[in-house]
Amino acid sequence: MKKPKAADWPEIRRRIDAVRATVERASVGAPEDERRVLKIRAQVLAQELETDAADADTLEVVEFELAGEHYAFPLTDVREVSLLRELTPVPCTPPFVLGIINLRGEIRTVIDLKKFFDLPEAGITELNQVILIKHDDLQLGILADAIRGVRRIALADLQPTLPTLTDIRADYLRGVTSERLVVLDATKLLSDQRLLVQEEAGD
Amino acid sequence: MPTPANPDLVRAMKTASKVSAAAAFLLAIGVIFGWALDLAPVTRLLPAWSPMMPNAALCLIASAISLWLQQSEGRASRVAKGCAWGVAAVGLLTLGEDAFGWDLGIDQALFASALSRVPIAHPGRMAINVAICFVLLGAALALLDSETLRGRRPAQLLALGTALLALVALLGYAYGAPIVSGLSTHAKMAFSTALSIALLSAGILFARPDRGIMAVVISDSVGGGMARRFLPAAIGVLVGLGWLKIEGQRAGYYDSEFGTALMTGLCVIIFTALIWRSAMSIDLTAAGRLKAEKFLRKTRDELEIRVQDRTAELENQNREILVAANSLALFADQIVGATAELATTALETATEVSEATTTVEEVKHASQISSQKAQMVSDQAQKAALSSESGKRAVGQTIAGMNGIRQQMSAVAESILNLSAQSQAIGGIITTVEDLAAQSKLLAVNASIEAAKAGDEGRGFTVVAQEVRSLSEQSRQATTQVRGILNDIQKATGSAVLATEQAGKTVEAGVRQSAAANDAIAGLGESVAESVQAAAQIAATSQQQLVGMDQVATAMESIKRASMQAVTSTRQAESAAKKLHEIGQQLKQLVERFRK
Repeated sequence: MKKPKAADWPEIRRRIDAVRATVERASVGAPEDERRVLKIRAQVLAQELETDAADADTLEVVEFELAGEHYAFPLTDVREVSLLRELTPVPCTPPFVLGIINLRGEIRTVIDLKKFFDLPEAGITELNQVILIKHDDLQLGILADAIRGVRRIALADLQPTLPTLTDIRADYLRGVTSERLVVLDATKLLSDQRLLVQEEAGD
Repeated sequence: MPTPANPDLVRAMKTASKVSAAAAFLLAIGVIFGWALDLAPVTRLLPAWSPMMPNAALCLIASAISLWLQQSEGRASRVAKGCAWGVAAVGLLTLGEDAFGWDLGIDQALFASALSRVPIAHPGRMAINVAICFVLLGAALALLDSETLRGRRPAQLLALGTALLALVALLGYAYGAPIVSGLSTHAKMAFSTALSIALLSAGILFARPDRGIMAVVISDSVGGGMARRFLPAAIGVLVGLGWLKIEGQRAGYYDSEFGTALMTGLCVIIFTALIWRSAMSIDLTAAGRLKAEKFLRKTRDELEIRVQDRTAELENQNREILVAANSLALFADQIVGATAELATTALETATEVSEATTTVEEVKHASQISSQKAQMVSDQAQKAALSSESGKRAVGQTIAGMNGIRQQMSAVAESILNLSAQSQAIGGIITTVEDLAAQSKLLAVNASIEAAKAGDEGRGFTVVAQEVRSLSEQSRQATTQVRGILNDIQKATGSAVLATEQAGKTVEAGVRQSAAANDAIAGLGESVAESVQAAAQIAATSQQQLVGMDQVATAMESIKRASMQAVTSTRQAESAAKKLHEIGQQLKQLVERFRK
């Protein structure tokens, strides 16, 4: 049996006081800390403005994760992103169609790209976020593990294709960056016959 | 049958013997001086008489010395014997000279010139009767203490023979008949020689008066008395009468025949008177004896009767004594047995008592130690009582403290549960914050999209959207950290609750144990109180015991001494009983012997 260490009550009391003081200070917020945060932010904002002008030939994309791989859609093809809520499965639909959701009164179809691309079921997927892409009047929800956010990539950096990619994906591919970010073409995806036929059949 | 000698007479005779030896010695010495100085009156006394020869004088001196020495007991007997044999040898040699005509030179060894003037055949040679006298005298002196198997003394016979020769010579001189004292042509026995030899002969007879024929003469018996009465008379009367007859004849009063008749008649008268007197005396004595015998016979008869009576009485007594002696022997036997047993028992008792004494000493020592120990126990027990009292108080305090701890532990458990619940609440809030952070992020993306749609006008907004996204990301990370911390807190709380529960149980056990300890100490206190009393009693008892043991030790010492005395007494009694037994046996034997 381990010999219990005699409690050093004054020490304990001192530490509790210190913690209480720290908590109180944090909740109130020290003026100097606040000023320092604001200063950092100001610097960040200043830098951002400088880089904007330099990147004329860039493409803004919305990056997301899917089964451990990074994908992206051009920002122009994305209408909005959302959490996956109130998914309603629809019968008699292809396996890649998960169901429909109600997004502010509008009913949108949600598909799983992995199934659509016949990708192998690899990696942990959360599939709790949705990217709503658009082309003309056509809008489609794409399930994602996590949406990483908007980023700007250089067009020069974008390679046409990679030999390792399958044919199916290659059809909807806009390019792959040196960081292995796969940039998909929403227009091509939405104009796919399978999807359309299914769309029609779905409607 | 030897008659007891008269000691006074014996002493007187011995003295007379010594005196005669001294007289002969002096006479002979005087003759030697006479020869040396050539004084004829000394050597021959009267001119008509023969002189004493020097060698005869030497022989007389040697004989006198021998007789004197043999009177004083023991010492120098060898010298005495030598002198005696020397005298006998001189006598024998002189006889040899006379018989065979030798000349051995002993005749004129001394004073040859003085001797040569003596007109005889062999100057210096002693007369034949003198020589015979010296042979007999020397032999008598040499054999003075020799005795034949029948108790006869040859020395006395030899002395008598010598005395006879000397007496004849002396009578010759007395009656004026020189022929008697020797042959005319030879030297005659001198008067002084005859006197000396007569003295020495008498001396030899008187030297051992209680032996041989002399014993009768000096005895106290009737025979002794008669001998003493007749001997001087016989000698003196005959010699005197002889001399009177010779003198009367020479004076011419009467002739030889008448003289002889006169002398014989006087002899008859005197001896008849003497014999009559003796006979009267013996008769008187015999009459007295007869009377005494009569009286004795009468007395004996009376005595006989009394003895018979006494014997009968004694036999009766003897019988009784025998019975008593038998009983005595029996009892003595029993007493001896009993005493031996008693002695053994007493010895064993003594040994046991000795051992017991030792044991008592040991017990005493042990009880001393026990007393000390009891005192110590009493002291210790009192200390223990005090300790148990304080222990009781301490346990009471402990129980109170334990109860306090139990209540506080309950409060602590409550607080920890509250903390846990609040942690859960915080977890809920964190979930909400996480959700908000995720929505914020999506919102930021949407804002970026909207900003992109707005074109250049929306560029600034893009930056804001990115900032919002960054914040939301930070929020998410913060919530993740907070969730980790919350998990830790939850785990810690669980441990704390468990620990508190354990502590509670421990405290419960402590309380129970304290209660048990309280009971135990209370019991112990009672026991200790009893122990104190018991120890005090033991100490007191031990003290009393010690005193008692002292008394016992003293008593044992007395018993030991008494038992040792008893052993000694018993031994004495045993030996006494043995003696008694022996006496009884002796008595029995005596009585039995008497009965035979």
